[in-house]
Amino acid sequence: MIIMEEFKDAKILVVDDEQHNRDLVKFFLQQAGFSNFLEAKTASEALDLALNNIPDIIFLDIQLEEDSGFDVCKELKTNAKTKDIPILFLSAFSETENKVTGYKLGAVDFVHKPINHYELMARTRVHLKNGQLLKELQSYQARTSHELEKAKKTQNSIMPSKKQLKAIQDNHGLQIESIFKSSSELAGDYWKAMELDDNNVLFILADFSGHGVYSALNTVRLDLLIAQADPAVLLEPKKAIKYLNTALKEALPSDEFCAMVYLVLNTKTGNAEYVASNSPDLFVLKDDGSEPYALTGRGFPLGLVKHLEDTDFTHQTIHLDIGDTLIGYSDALTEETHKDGSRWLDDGLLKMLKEAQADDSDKTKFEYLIEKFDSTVIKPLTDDLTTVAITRLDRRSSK
Amino acid sequence: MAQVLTMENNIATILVDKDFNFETHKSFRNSVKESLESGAKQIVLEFKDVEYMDSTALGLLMVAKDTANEVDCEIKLQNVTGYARKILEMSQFDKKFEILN
Repeated sequence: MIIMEEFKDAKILVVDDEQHNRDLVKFFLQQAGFSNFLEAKTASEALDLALNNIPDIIFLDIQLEEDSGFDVCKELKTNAKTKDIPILFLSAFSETENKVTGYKLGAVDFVHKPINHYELMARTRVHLKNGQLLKELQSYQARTSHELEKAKKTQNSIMPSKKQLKAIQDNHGLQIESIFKSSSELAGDYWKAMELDDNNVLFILADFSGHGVYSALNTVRLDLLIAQADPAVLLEPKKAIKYLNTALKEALPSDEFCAMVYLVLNTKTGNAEYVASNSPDLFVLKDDGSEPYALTGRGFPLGLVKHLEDTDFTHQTIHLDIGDTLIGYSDALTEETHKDGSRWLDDGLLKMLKEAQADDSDKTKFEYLIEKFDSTVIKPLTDDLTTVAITRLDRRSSK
Repeated sequence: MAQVLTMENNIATILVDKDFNFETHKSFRNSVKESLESGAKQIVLEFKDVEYMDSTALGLLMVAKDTANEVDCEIKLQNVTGYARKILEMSQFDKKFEILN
């Protein structure tokens, strides 16, 4: 039987207290073209050789003179350096109990004595191949997770930084609280807070269809489109959403799209003009204790048609008094399943907001809401979660 | 799963399963393709079993509409209730598609 060329240099450790057993294994393997052997007759020799040479495969006798092969296996399987080496027990027994113990300890297979040439070869080939696939997979995973980690950093860098938020809060008398959690390494959610001039701050909350890598690429695209936009357009939500829709239509595949709230808040007057498309309702929590109320986010998703008509999206002007809080979120907040099997949906969120309003602890309404969500939701989340709360403070007192 | 239920007088009826999401995309596309290849001039999407739909489903509907329009075929939705109705209203798809009840 000829071995596969790629394995001919495989490093093989044979552990058996009897010389003739070691020789027999080696002889059969040499016949097949293997030549790179290490030999040990005791447990400590075996551990030394394995740790210092990291063999590609180990044949291990169960009953060594003074020790048990099981102990050697256990030790190697608990060491990060050697845990992935395939270990095959050489066993004179075929009893179930020995096999169960061996497999439990992490052995991959058994070769029975007296050794059969063909059985030995077949098992060697299978486990060298599996070992190689495992190494390739591990290296692929390591590379992928490294790349995803870098991509995640890039994505985080397009979200508002603490420094940017602090500047906006200080200049405009606002308190901005937010949470951004992706369901996988990368998210299809996006949010932005940006000072447009001395009196106006832009807030965007966007949620691309799907999640993961391709949705994350779309968030970067959106960020670029906003950066490239004419500042005069950004001040006018209706114009801005039409511009973004057309640009996204050109950039996105035909079945991908984006839900969005685009709001410009005049921090001097408290008036806010917003447009929304396919977005969950926004909520306003009044400081005067009156009931929280919802603002619709209804509208046609962005990026599906070339031109949006005025009737395709919500366009409204609202007013925030000092102390009022506006809450925007992606649908994970109301759609994720909680431990009791329920989802908040709009009614559940409204109930939580009322509780938050009535809460007399030191927590902000946003902190109360997110703590409640976090304490009962099933993790990991199945969709990306973004929630932003904007509270209008007295501009003079906040400076 | 989505499947073509009937095809009569150039009207195809496609039954959409209770979860209309990414899992459905192959069978839904195939059903639309099959209907158009049979010469359908109207496709009725039967929503009576649909309990849940997500953003992928909206994308699928839009692509189906564009594909059908290219061959002068109309897509209508039937028996849309509950959560699916809410999603369609939130996205104003109820203005882009005729909904029969």
